Amino acid sequence: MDLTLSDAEKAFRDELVAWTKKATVPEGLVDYGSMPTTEQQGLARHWQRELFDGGWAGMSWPAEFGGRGASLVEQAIYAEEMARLGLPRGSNITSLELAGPMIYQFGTDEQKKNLLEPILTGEHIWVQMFSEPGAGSDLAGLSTKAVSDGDGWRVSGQKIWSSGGHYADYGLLLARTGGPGYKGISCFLMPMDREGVKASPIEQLNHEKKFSEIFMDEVRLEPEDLLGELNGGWEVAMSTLGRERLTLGSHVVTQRNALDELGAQERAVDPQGHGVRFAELYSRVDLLRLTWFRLLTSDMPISDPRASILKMVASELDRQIPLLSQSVRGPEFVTDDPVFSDDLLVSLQRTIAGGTTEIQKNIIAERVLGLPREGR
Amino acid sequence: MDFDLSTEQRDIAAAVRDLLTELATDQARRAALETPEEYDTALWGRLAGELGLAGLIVPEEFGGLGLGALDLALVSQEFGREVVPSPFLATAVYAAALLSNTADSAAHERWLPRIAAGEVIAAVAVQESATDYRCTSPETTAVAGADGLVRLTGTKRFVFDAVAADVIFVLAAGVEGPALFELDPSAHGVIIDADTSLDPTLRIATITLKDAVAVPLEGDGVTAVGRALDLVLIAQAAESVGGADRCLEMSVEYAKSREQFGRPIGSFQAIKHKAADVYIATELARTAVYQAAWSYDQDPEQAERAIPAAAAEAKKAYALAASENIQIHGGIGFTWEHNAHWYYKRARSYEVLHGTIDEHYRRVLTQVAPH
Repeated sequence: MDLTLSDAEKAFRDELVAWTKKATVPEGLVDYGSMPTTEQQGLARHWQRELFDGGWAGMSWPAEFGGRGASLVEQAIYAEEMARLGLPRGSNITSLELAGPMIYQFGTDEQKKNLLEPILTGEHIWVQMFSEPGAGSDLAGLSTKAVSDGDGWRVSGQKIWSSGGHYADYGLLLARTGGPGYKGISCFLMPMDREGVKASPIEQLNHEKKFSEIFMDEVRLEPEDLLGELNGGWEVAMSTLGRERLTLGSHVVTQRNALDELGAQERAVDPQGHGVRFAELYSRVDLLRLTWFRLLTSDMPISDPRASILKMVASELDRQIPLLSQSVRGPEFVTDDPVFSDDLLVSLQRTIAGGTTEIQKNIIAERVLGLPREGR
Repeated sequence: MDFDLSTEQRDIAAAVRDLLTELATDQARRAALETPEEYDTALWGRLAGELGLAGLIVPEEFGGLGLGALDLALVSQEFGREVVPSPFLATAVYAAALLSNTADSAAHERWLPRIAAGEVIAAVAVQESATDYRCTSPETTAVAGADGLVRLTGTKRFVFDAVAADVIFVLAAGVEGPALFELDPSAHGVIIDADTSLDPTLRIATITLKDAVAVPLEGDGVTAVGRALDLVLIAQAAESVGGADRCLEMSVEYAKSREQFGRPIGSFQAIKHKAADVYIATELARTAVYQAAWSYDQDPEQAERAIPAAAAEAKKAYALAASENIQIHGGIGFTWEHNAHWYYKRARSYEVLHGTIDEHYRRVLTQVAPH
């Protein structure tokens, strides 16, 4: 056991920090997290190009597909350091951690040739088109239908909670091409400018517009738009499960920064008052980070169900940190705490998006602990 | 960055598990509690003799294994799994660490080889007030008489394994501040009252001292106690993680086989989510214990906040695991016959012994919020 960075890991970090010092950061760029807002999406593309030119695009991608081929720990360090520097990790998570890896794992040579590099250079931003109004946690029940039309398909239906759908260039679409259940689903790579596609942003409860709903009306899909096998979309979709966990480090840095900000107020760290809770949350953030490294450095595949705990603990902390600010500041939180009050609102989605807390607990209970599945 | 355990570390944990699985049965535990010693003397003899666990952290020059905090944590996890009535924590951890951290080489010679050999039970008496487990300013006094002897007067509480102890090390206020003293439990002026413990597998006593003659130990007593207590916190936290592991295994096993409404109760989300919560709490606590143990040996600055954080996390995880275990078992879990209650009693006792959760977080606070 050695809980310090190895020499090679330190060298990697130093190289990254040195590069960021001389990189051209687009003016106005902020660390927007896993996806840019509408206003930031142009800057996000420029930044992705800068990363590409510097050799930092596609950290997790193998070198043969133009990526960096970094180890899991290096990816973790990358996520932490970029957050520390206040820089986004790339254009958006869907492009770099979902679309790209799915394409290089399941794509035809043609698809790889045409679609991978534009992700790395920031030319293409992708949107995930999985969830539907009637298919959230129960994704396999989705009803968007792709009906055979000569050599291709016509697809109709509605997708929702699609991050950045209104500015994306390509959609990673799951649609039903066969019978019910997960065995009748195919995955398509759909240009968003196809006729019949209409995306509009959804206003969140904090007025931000990060995700969108997407309507498809008889949209034509070509044979070359199919990714992987016909009716093999579930396997494609599940292949990247858990990859977003590699970016957890940036999350931890954000949480620690929030606690440091909160800790600057004396009331928050009073040993006879809120200080105990403050220390508890601070320790938890530390532990989240270390548990993440513990899982990364075990022989566990990144899709291992045990990693569900990371998502759950991270989202729980997201909920708790602004609530501590609320108890510390009392009524002033209501009138005079724009930062933490916005965090409080945004945190509500963390226990919903990417698999709700309840679904994560089912995963742990069934796939880690071996409890029997519910009658579904 | 890696969390890998060495082959030696895995081996010693496996050897302890094998022996405990064979010998530390529920039946043996119940039988041991009926004996005058109230711990399993035969088991302790084998753990000390065959595996050398009494000398686990005792330096090799004194006949011990000379192992570190991480090895101790791994062994302690195994003890925790079986709620073993044993003087391991008091003697092999607390007393051995305390002595090793004093500068008194004569005391090392006197006691460490005998502790390592499992020949003696040693206890450490530090705490006085219920709200100050580290007791940096003891009220117990040490006064040197005209005859050149030092005499201790005061009350020490929550002392583990004092009744069976051959020697007790006491923190008391001497002329030059707090220092350690070696006390013969049979000396005049020493009264040891066994407390009735919520957890009968823990032997806890109150010691009243009135002009009891004791031998001063050389070195800084408070620092030695602090170092030793930190190791106790690590061992206790690791035991708690082991106990929580066992509770979760029992819960899962029961939830798979117990049927109601025509299906195993483990198929209901109400049960699943409890089990998942216990799993998460336990895994976080395990990370915390590893970090605490690793940093105790490698990075004292990190240890200063990692140890109390681990203590707090483990206390919470064990309490959750042990209480949910009984809830999942329903009526049978509430019986004397079932062994779930040992874990619950141990968890709720450990939750407040050697510091409360709040005390530990206040120590974390001194590290993360400097003002």
